[in-house]
Amino acid sequence: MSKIVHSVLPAIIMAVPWLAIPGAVLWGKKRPGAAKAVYVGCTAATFLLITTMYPRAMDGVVSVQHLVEVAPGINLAFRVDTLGFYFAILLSVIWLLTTVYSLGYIRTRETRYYCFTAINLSFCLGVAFSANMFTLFVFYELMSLFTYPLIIHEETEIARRAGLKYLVYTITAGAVILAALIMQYYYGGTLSFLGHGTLNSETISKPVLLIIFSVYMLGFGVKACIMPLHGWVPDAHPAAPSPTSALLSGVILKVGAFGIIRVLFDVFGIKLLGDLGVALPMLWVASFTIIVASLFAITQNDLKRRLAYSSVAQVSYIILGLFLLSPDGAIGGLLQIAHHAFMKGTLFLCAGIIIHETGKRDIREMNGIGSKLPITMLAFSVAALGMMGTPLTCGFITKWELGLGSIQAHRPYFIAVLLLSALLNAVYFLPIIYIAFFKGDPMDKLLKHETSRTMMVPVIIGAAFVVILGIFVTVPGLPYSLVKIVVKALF
Amino acid sequence: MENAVRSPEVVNSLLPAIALLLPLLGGLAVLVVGDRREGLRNLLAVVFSAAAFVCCVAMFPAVMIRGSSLTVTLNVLLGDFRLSVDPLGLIFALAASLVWLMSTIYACNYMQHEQRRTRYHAFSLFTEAATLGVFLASDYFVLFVFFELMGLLAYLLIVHNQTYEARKAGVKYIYMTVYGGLSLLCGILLFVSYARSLGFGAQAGSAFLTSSICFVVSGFMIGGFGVKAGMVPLHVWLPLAHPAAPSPASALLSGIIIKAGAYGFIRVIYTFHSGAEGVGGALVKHGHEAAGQVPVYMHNLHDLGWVIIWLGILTMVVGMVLALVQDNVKRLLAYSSISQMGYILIGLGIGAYLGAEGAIGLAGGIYHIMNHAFFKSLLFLGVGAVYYATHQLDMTKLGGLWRKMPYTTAFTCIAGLGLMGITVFNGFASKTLLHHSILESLEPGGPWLRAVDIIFLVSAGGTICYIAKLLSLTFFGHHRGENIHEIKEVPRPMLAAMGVLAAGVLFFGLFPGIVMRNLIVPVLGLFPGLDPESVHHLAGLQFYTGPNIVALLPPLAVGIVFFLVMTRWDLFRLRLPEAMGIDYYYSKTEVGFLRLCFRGSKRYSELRAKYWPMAKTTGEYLYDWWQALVKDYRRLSSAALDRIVTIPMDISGFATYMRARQFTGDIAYGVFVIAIVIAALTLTLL
Repeated sequence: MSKIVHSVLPAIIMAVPWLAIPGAVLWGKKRPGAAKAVYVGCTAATFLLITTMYPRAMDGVVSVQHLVEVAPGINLAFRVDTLGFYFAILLSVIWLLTTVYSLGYIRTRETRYYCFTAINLSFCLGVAFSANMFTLFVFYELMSLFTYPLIIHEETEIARRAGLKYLVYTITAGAVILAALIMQYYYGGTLSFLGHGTLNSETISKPVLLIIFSVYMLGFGVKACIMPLHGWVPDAHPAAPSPTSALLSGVILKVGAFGIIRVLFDVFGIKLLGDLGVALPMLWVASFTIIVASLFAITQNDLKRRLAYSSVAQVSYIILGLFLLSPDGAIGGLLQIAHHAFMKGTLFLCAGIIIHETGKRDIREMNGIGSKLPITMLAFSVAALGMMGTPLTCGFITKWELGLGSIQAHRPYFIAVLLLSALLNAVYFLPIIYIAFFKGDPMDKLLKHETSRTMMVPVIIGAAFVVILGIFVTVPGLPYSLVKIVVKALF
Repeated sequence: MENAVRSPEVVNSLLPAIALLLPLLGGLAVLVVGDRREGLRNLLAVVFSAAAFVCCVAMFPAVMIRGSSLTVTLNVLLGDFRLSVDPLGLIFALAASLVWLMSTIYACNYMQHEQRRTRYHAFSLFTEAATLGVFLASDYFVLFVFFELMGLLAYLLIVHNQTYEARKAGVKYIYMTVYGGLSLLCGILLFVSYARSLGFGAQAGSAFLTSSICFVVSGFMIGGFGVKAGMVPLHVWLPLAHPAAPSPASALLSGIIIKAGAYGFIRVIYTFHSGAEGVGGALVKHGHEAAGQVPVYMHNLHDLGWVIIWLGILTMVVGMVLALVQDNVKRLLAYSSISQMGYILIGLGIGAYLGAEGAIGLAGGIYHIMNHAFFKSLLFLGVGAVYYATHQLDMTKLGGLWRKMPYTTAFTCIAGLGLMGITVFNGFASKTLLHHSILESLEPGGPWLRAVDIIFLVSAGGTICYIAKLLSLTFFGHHRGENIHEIKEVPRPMLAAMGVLAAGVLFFGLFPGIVMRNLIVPVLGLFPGLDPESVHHLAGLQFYTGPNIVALLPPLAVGIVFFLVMTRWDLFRLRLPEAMGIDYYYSKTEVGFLRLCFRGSKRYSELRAKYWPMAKTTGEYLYDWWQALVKDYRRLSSAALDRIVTIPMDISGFATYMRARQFTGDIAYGVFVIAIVIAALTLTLL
């Protein structure tokens, strides 16, 4: 059993982002510099505070904190295990990058943007830190609702419609999760996460377990955009401002996947799922999503829409890896959370710079854009090569681990899905690089000016991470070491 | 001797890592200096590639003479990322770094005509680093990492000019590379999982080599390596890429990068040989002689060899026939490269086919790889020099250059004679070995391989014919272009680079015994399944004997007949219909696939549009029903009930606010899907 310590840190960490709100509200108009400083400062402070939990996470020590008992047996409580820490530190890093980026990108309604981004950070951390399904559900729902203002930020007709679609999807999904939650509590008697499954097949009949499982999957599947529940993703991503798209793809979709991970590891447990035989259908659903979403991505000409479909495909890698129910598969799936966050985050931030500097969204109009925005497009290329799984980028490590995992699970045919997906990734990413650097006359060299430094730096850091996570994989503190600890405890 | 070979002493040494880092640093230095100071940049490029060559030479004594394996372990990627140099890797690395050095020296002058010189030099050096990585890798994982990097980096060399042709070639190349990489990755993943191995060999005693999974793995690996090696039918990128790339880059592509594919084939064969270690090395041979039975892994290798031989024959013949009908000098050489890769594959295939007696086939294949690296890169540099001087690649518009460019002519002719396999030049030695190996395989192979002998003879004749065509049309006869007076010999550095390679061609041709003893035999010592006696026999093989030289006459005769026939009926201008090439069908598939994608998504939206009203109506019906329900409640409710109903009223008010009617279809759709999924899950899993 892992060691348990009591700690007030999770609540403090969750409170820190809220401090950005007074700054943004009070100084938003009069002293924008101060508002920005407070906003970035709070995000950075959150990140730093989370890093203080690193030693515990590496030792596998669990920090718990009890907040309030809502009803008998239903608590609002925090419990930070290595998995939670891994997710929290990842999302705070991505948040920090997009926060810095948004200072340069967001030029309208900054106050609202800053407030809601900060609040969302807090709620996402709540999901990562939650000690039971109820807490997770509460913060999950809050986060879903508070993402809405970020999506409709530009308040265009397209954005509103996308936002509405998003709301309808997530509210329905929330109700479905609630239903599953109630069933779990009724049959299982507890909602707590204990590091192993709490439902057991001796007291609960198989059909009931199956129904609980499928209802959970349907609920979380909307955020994790499993096809055919992905409808909101390709609309919301292009409509939202680019830093928000990066957050959506990098983190918020992963929150759905995180919910699935909790259901897998802490509600059902690996053994029970293996006995239930639901892993194979889930693998097929994930494979279907990976392939079909990639095929859809090929047909998109809007850059951000193509990236959004690519996200739909890539998030299913996580599902695929986890439901292989083998150690290497789980490593691959969990790594994909971080690796995809950096790759897709970088891609969306680059797309943002392209839109911001040239106003172009259609890939066919981007001939020679590499000579105008060389550093941006270089970062874009690095991240895109990562998505294809080129060695020395983090995408390769994921692909390798997933491949090993599928053989380990005695299901080697899922390698075909991985490789086909990599091929399709090449089909829809390589033309962009090709168009940017090699096709057509280079754009007027005199126009060559990269964008402001606040937008450039996050993009460069993101691309650097794509490479660093692909080369120095085993350095302690990087995702691989954390994921290893998580998986070692589970298998 | 046998023990020393079987368990090479592992020496920790930084040299392999340095050999890799030098070109990498050189590339970075070139990028930093950039276009501002051309002289310094060119000097840096040459110095760093020379340093890499020196570094490879420095590894020679330890690896080749003392037989130790230099190893360095880096803690990158998944940890335990090991570079390790054995004789096989080293001879490839030596050839690669030498050709690269010459190409870089040559490129300093050659590239003055071209744009983006800094990019060329930088990425040429980066590619060198990746290529050396392929040869110095200690296991398939490391090899794959560098193989992919090499493939992607070489893209920049191919599209360098960014003309329409170059881009078209680049597109074909990059997709073939991606495809090959995935096939290779698949093979390696399976290998690592099933052979549980940390090297190129399967783990001793593992069932991998005796089960049928080894064919799946080697199939995927051959699919991956074959793309790089230009193996028919995966060769389609090669004839496009070579003419499109600048000449020094073509020399690298043909001289070295396609050899990385052949290197992969050798490693696959090596993996099969590792089975011998598990069963007890030399004992195997005596065992099977006694029992009249071949061990299972050797039997599998035998089958694999048979496949490789026929792939090689196909490659050889297709390349030769297409080379005959080309007018573009570089395209002719590209097809010739394909054909020569066929020779190499035949050699390696026979090496595998003959199992323990296959030393001669492997030796022929490896010797030919080395020779081809020299003469083909020299040929590309030679025609590059012609292009430098005349800006013409169509050989029907050249001619009579030998007066104006005597040195270029001499060097190119040496390379051409090497390719023909004429005595004294290097091709003679390797083709003799290949011919011997075919003869040796006749006995176990029977009539099928007798056909191989005849095909081999015919393609050797064809080779002689197309090289004669190339040399005579380009350098001899009268000039068919304009401005012969303006043509000058190319600058000295370019000549020097070609001269060194020409010297190599002559050396490998004149002293085959030295080459065999010092380069080839140590490599063969790596293969534990080979019969030590036959390896020993190779070390003392005499090349310049009467029968060997006489054996040259039939191909020469065939070549002359070919040449006469083709000139008489003007067959050199024959063009095959497009539909006969495999590339035609690849393109069809590509286009068809994209069309399928677009059609599929169109069909999807059609379906959605068709069934959307249904979902929407259902949703609206539900919504109206809910509204009516609320209304009824309000009408019927007492004051107490009224308070409860306000909550749903608020929700419905909110819903009206967000025009939920529009999206009720989405909800209904979701409910529909949920219902179906739950029903399906419950039904199938109960």
